[in-house]
Amino acid sequence: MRVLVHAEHEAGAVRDTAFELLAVARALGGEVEALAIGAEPQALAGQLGAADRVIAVADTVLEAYLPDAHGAALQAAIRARNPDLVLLSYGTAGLDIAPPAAHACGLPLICNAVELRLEDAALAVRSQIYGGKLDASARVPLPAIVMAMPGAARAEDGRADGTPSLESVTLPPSAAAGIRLVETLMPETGDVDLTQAERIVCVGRAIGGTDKLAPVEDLARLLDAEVAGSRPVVDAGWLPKARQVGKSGVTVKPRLYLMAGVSGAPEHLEGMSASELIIALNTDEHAPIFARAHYGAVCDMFDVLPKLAARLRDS
Amino acid sequence: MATQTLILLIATLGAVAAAGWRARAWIGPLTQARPAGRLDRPWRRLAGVLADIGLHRRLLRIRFSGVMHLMIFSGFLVLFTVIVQAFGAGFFPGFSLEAIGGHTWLATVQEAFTVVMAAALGMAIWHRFLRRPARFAGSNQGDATTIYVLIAAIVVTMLLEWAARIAAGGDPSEPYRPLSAALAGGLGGLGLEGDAAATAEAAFYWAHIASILAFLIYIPGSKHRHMFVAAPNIFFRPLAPKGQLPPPPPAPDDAERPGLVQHFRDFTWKDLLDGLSCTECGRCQAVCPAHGSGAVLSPKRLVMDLRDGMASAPGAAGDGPIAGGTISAEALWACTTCRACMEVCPLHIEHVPKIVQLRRSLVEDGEIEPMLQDSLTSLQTHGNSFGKSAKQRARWTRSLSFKPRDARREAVDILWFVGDFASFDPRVQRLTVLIGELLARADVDFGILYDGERNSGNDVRRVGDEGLFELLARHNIAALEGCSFNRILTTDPHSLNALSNEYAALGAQYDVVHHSRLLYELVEEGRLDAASAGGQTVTYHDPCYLGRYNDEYEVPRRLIRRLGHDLHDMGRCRENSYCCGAGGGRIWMDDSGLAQRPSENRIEEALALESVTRFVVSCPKDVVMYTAAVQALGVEDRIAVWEIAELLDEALTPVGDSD
Repeated sequence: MRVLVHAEHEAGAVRDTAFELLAVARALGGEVEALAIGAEPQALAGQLGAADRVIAVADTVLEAYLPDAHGAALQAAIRARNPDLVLLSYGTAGLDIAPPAAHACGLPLICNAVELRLEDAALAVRSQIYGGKLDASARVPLPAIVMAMPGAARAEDGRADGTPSLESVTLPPSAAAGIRLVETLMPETGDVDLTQAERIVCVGRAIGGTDKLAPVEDLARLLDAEVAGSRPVVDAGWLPKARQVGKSGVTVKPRLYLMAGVSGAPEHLEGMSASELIIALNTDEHAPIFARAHYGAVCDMFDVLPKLAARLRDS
Repeated sequence: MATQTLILLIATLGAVAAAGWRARAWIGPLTQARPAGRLDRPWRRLAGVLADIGLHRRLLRIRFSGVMHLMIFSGFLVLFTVIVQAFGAGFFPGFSLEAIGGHTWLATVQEAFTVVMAAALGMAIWHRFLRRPARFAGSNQGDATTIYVLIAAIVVTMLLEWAARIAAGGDPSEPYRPLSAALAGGLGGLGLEGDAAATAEAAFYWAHIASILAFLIYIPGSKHRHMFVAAPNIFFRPLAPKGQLPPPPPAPDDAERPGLVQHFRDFTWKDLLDGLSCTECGRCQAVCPAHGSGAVLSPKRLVMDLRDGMASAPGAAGDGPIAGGTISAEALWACTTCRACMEVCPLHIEHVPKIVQLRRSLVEDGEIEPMLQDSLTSLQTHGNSFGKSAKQRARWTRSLSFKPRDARREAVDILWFVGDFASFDPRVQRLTVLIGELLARADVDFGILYDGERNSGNDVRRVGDEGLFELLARHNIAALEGCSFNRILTTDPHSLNALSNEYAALGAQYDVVHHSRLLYELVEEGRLDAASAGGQTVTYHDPCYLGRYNDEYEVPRRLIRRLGHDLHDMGRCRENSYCCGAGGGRIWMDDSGLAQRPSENRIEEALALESVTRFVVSCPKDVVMYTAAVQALGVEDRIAVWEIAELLDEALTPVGDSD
């Protein structure tokens, strides 16, 4: 059993999703090879200690991510290494390069995988369908390609110290075909990316002004949370646009969403209702948010938030 | 004499040729454009021309400017006799208007209108350069100034010519020209008498001719083109239902899909004539909710930019598409299709259909506002913009005390087309339930389509997604075909517009009634026993698609008054109502970049009315928009948004029975 893991990286750092894949591969047992594609991918070897071997496809055309060049690199690596299983993360790059590789190498492809197990010589995969509403189970003969959902394993389990051996695979000369990098535009996320936040404290218009944000920020610091706001808060300029949750802001899915003084307009709910735990504080007992929150309290946030902060500080 | 006639002839022909040369830039595109089919109902068309030019119907809506325009317009008509006299005498020595009072009463009328004209010029200059209304921002001020100078030159040279003639002596019209006579006295005081005065008369005559010809040459490149183009533009105005958008251009020979407006030749000639008619008066800009909220769209600039683009486009196949080029995509997406601009334009210019045509080509190119993209995807897969499964459409009925009949299975008197927002938005669902209970209470025989209904497609069409609109419309038409009913009821003016106007173009005719009218009928017939002791001071917001598009202004007001409320209209009401900002698909787009949302501006307008505590609406989108606006402004304690059905429900519910 040999697993080839596509190790995506950005700005010299291996991405968390790649560590998740390494964790999945390690859990399956057998040999793990990390596929590093780039201009100087050998430099990533130090971060890929969880792999037994690093397969480097190095070429200057691979410096920036280009679907056709990186796709050709993946296919070259599959042909050179003949792995039993190829793992990619279900993301932009995976969606670009995995299906053509499956076609070109004649391998089955399973997407949206959340769980992988070995059963005899085959792979049992549980994967999401219908936008995650249903799970599908499948048994695939090996070799195969699987795209795993981000979060299918813990990234920490894919990080390890170690000195994997290094092998090179050459990129076929015709790889850099049609697509060329013109410019890289970074999204304007401002100072924060709420979509990555594990905990969020969100305030509504009742906060009343920037000067009143201190207790909220204090609490957020103690909870290791990000501060967010509903539309009126951002409209009023009390928080930057990057911190707006909802239909016209960002859609978030934190483990904890603590909301104070947010009534819960449908447009706001659209942006946060998938949060794992929603706690709502509001002075209006009829506020629609109480129908959605897991826990709710009719109270004055200016009263409760500092006390909550004090309690957290004590513990 | 013969020499002078020859000079006049050459000068006149030269000026006409120069004017024609200057007009060529827009005559070309006009002849290459698509046909418009605007020759039906000629008498009705003519009547409109007489009303809007003869009676200044739309112009007089702004009193000062309307009166000023009427003064200049009538001045031009009267002083046209002077031009006839000047050129007639030049070409045919001895020509005179004496037979029609040219030396007597006509002379006096000419004198009087000289004063009228001068006064109007003074008003215009004061208005444009001192008062400077915001609607002139972006207009070509240099053009306007040139026009003022030329008109002044024509009038002053004319007056001086008359005065010099009197000073020279022997003018038979002298007793009928008090102003010129007085001026002649002044000239006499300067020593201008006898032969000198005769020479001066000739000089002023030629100066007068020169200013008229200069005006003629100037006009084709100026907004003053409207002197010639306004009447045809009003004559060829659209007479189709206001709520029915024109179809896209026909498919090119080799294609199955409809065509797109990408170049000026893809517009109809009437679309291009619109641009040539525009006087840059900015009335459209002043009423535009997009412009008012700080978006980049100004309907005036749109028409001006199209006009200028048309005149400068090479006309060859090489020129790029208009949408995203001459007109930015951002401006096109900003429009709420509220139609305020079209309603107010004195020349009946059609802004909204042009915007939709251009949006169609943006949609075809996939240049779609990101939030809108999500809604359109959802409309495509689920038939609603909420991303909810079609099965969930009738879920609101679970809150009713009864189960509404399924109009697909049994015949009903009223088929209730519920609409997306009324079905899915939690803020509106409550009202949908309330209206359902009112109908049951009045024993109305009604049913709904359950999951057989889809979004009506009204705003999908306005967004420019013609294919998706047709998909939705055809689905609904097929669903309705299988049902037996007399009338369709809807609470949503957007659905009402699609069902009664847009579907008609697809061959489906329905009798559609808005809930405000049905509820009023039920009260009048005594089927709902409403008290008339409301006693609140309220204001009413006319939804664009109920009022401006479908001419329903009265019934909602009657119902409000019938319930005993004191109704105060906002300044912008009825056909000049101010859009909430949701129409034309705007409700699906990001509105966070605006300086002030139209809905918040509107709530402030209502708050400025003394003691108004209720803001009455009759559209589900208004419920959403204005509830959010009241909340955003933090004025919940001063004003509350009430759906008109809630007012009625309040009048039915015994006191103490409500929560």
